Amino acid sequence: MRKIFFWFIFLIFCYPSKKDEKPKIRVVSLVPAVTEIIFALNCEKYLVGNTIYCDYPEEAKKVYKVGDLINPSIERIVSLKPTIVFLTYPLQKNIDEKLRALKVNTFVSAPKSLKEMFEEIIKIGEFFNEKERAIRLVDSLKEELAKIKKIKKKKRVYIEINDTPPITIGKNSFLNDLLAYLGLENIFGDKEYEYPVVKHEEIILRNPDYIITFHPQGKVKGVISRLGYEKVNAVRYGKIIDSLNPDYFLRNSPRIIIGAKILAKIFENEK
Amino acid sequence: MAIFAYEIKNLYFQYSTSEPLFKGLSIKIKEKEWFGIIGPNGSGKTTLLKIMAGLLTPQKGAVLLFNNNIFSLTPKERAKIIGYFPQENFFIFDFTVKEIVLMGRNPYRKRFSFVTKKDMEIVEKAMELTGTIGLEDKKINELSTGEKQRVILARILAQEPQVLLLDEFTTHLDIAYQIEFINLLKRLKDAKNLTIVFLTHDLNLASVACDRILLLAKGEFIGCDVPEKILREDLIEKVYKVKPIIKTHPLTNRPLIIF
Amino acid sequence: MRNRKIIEIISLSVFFLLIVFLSLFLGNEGFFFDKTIILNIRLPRMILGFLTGGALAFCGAVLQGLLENPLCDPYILGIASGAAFGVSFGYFINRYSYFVTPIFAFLGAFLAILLVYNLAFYKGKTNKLTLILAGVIVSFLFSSLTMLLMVFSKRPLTEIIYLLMGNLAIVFNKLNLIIFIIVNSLTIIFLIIINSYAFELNCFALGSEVAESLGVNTKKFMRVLFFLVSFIITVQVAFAGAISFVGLMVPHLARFLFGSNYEKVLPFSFILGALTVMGADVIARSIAPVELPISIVTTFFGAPFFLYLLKKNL
Repeated sequence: MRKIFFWFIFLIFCYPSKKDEKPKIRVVSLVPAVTEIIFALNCEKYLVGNTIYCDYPEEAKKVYKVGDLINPSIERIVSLKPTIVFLTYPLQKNIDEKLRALKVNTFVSAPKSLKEMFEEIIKIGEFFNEKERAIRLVDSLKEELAKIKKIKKKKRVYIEINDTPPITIGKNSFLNDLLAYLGLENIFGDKEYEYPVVKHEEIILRNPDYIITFHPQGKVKGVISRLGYEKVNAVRYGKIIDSLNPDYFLRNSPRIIIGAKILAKIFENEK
Repeated sequence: MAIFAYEIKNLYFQYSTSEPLFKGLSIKIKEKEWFGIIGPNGSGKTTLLKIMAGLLTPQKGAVLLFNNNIFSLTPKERAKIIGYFPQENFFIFDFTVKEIVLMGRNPYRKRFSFVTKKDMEIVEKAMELTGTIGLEDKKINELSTGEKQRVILARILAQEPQVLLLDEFTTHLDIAYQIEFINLLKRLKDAKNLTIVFLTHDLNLASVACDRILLLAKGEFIGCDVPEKILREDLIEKVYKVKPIIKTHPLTNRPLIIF
Repeated sequence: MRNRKIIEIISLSVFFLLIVFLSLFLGNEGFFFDKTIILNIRLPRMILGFLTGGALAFCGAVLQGLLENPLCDPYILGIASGAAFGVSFGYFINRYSYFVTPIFAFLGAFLAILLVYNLAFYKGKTNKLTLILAGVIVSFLFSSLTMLLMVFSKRPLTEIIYLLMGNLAIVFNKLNLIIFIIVNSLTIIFLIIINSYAFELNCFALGSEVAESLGVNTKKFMRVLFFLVSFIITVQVAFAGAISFVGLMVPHLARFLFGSNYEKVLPFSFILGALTVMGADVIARSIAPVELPISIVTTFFGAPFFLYLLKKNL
C-alpha cells in the first residue's frame, strides 16, 4: 500500500508542467471596475478569469469565475497562469500577499481621486500594450465630464453605502472627488478613509440637504423613520434618493460618467 | 501491640459555608477491623470517609494511615492502600466492565507503558472474586444496580488495597444482594486481611457486621465502641430523635433495633 | 476480534489514501497534475487540514473527558474568541499582513487562556464547573471586545468572518513556514504526551473524586492537560481559523465505533478528525465557483450524519 503511494509522489515530480501554448498576456481581474475598463479597452481577449461580481458588460459574466471578492480561490487564479492579476486595496491585501508569495504578478487598483482613476486606466492600458487606446479613452471621458454643467449652489450631500453601521464615502475616494468636481459637498469629505464608518448622531448633526443611498435598507420609507432624523433637512424637504444604480457611482470605471450625468440632471432642477 | 490502620487525632473540619462538622474528633481503627460509622443525615459521615480517603483536607488535625501522614502521601501511594467506594456512581461515558475494573490498576502503571500481564491477571482475579467474570465486555450502563456495585467492588479490589472505605453501598440493593455483599466482603476481609470502614443507614446491618461502631451526630462525637455499647436505646433516641426498641438477634446475638 | 481489527485498519488506510489522492489531485475541472499547484497550494492545504482536523478532534475528546461533559468542544476554553480578538486588534492597528495574522491570533488566544487559567485555577481550587464557566465567560468577553473593535474601526472588518469560519487556503512564505513547522512539531510532541495519559483520562472520566481515589493527581493532571490542550488548539486556530463541529462530534463517532476507552478514542479521534477535515476541504473548494468556508461544509454534512448515528444508537 505504501509503495503505491510513493509511486504517485514520484510520478508527480516526473510529470512536466503544462507547456504554454496560450497568448502571452493573460489577465485575471478581481475588481469589477477593472473588468469594465478591460472591456472598454477592447482587451477582453486577454481576460482569462474574473469574479462572480464582474457583471458588466454582459460578456464579462461569461468569463471563467475564480470566486468572490473577499475569498477567491487562489488555486483557480494560479492555475490560469496569469501574467498579471488586478486587485484592490485594502479589501484584497491578503490575497495580494498570498499571490506574491506564489510569484504571481499583481497590480493594485485603488484610486483616491478622479485624476488617479484616469492615470490607472492608462496604466492598465500599458499592460495590454494599448497605451494609445487608453489615452484616447481617458480623453473622451474627460471631454464628457467637461460637458457636464456644474451645479450652481453648493448642496450638502450624504452618501450612504450601508446602514448598520452607517458607511459613507470619505476624503480619499474618487466619488468624493467627483462630487466636489460637480459642485456638491460631501458632508463627510473630511473623513480619512475611503469608506469610513460613521454614527447616526454625526449624520444628524451635519444635517445634509440631500441623502443618496445605495443599499436595500436605504429606501426612503426606512430613512424617514429613523430615530432623530426628523430634524435633518433632507428628510424635512423630502430630498432622499434611493433609486440610483450603485454601479454608476461606486465603481472606478468609465460608467462613472453616467453617474455624473445623472447627478447633474437631478440637481439641475434643484434651486 | 495492635497496628492501627487509622489514627485520627484532633480532627477539625468545616465546609466553608457551614458550621464545623468535627471539633477535635479522635479515633483509632485497628488493622483488620470491620469499623462502622452511623449517624443521621448531615452528621458528617461521608465527609469523614472522604477525609480518610485523602480526598478532603481538614483545617486541623492529623490523619495517620498505618503510621503515615495520609496527606504527605502521593495520590498513587494512597491508591495502593485505600479502596474508596463512593456513594454515587455515574457513568457518563459507556465503558465496558473490563475497562472499568482495569482502571483500578492505575496506581501501578508507569508512564508510556502498556497494560501488563500481571495487571490482566489481577483484574481477572478481582472479577472472579466479585462474580463479574461473565460481564467483561458489557457496557456498564447496561447492568443492573447490583451488577454495577459488584463491578465497582472489583475495580477496588484490582487496586490491591489494604483498606476498604465504603460509602452506603447498600442503599440501592435489595435484601438478597445486601446479604450477598456483606458475605462477600467478609470472605474478602478474611482472605486478604482487609480493614473495612463502612457507612450505613441500616443500623441492623451495622450491628451484625461490625466489630466496632462510631456514632456521629452533627458536629458531635457520641460514641465509638462495640455494637452492644453503642446501639442502646438512649443513644439512638438522642441522635435519631426516634425511640427504638432494642432486642437481641436470635441468631447473631447482636443488638436488633426495631422502630 | 482479530479479523475485525484488520478490517478496521484496512478500511481506514484506504479512506486515508483516497482522501490524500483527492486532496492533491482533484481540481475544479476534474483531475489534473500540475506540479506548482500541487506543491504550493494543494499540499500545504492538505497538511494543514490533516493536522488541524486531527488535533481538534483529539483535543475535543480530551476536554470531554477532562470536564466530564460530552458536549465540550475545543473552543469552550475561549480560545477561538481570543484568537478572533487578536486578529481584529491587529487589523484595527493596521497590522494585517496575511503572514503576520497567526501571530496576532496567538497573542489573542494566549490572553484568553491566561484569563481562563486565572479564573479557574485561582486559589488552587480546581473544579470542572469553574473551568467551563471561566471558558464561557472569557468567550463572551472576547466576542464582545471583537464586536467593539468592529464598531469603532474606521473601516469595516469583513475578513474576520472568514477567520471565524475556518479557512485552509494557506500559502507559505519563509516567515510563516518556519513558525508553522516549529509550533506544529510542538503540537505533535504534546499530542504524544497527552496520549500517554489516556489511562488516567479514563479514570478522570469517572469523576475527579473517583480519579483521585484511583491515584490520579487531579490538580496536576488538570493543569498539565489544560496547558497542553490550550497550546494545541491555539496553534490550529491561528493558522486555520475556527473549524466548527469537528472537535465536538468526531470523538463521539470514535466512541461509537471503538468504545469509550481513551487509549483507543484518542488516536482514532485524530485519524477520523484528520480525514473529516481533509474530506470537507476537498468538498469546500470543489463545489462552487466560490470557495466555501470549511465550517459550513463540516456542519452541513456532519449534522445529518450525526442525527443518523444518534438514531442508530437509540
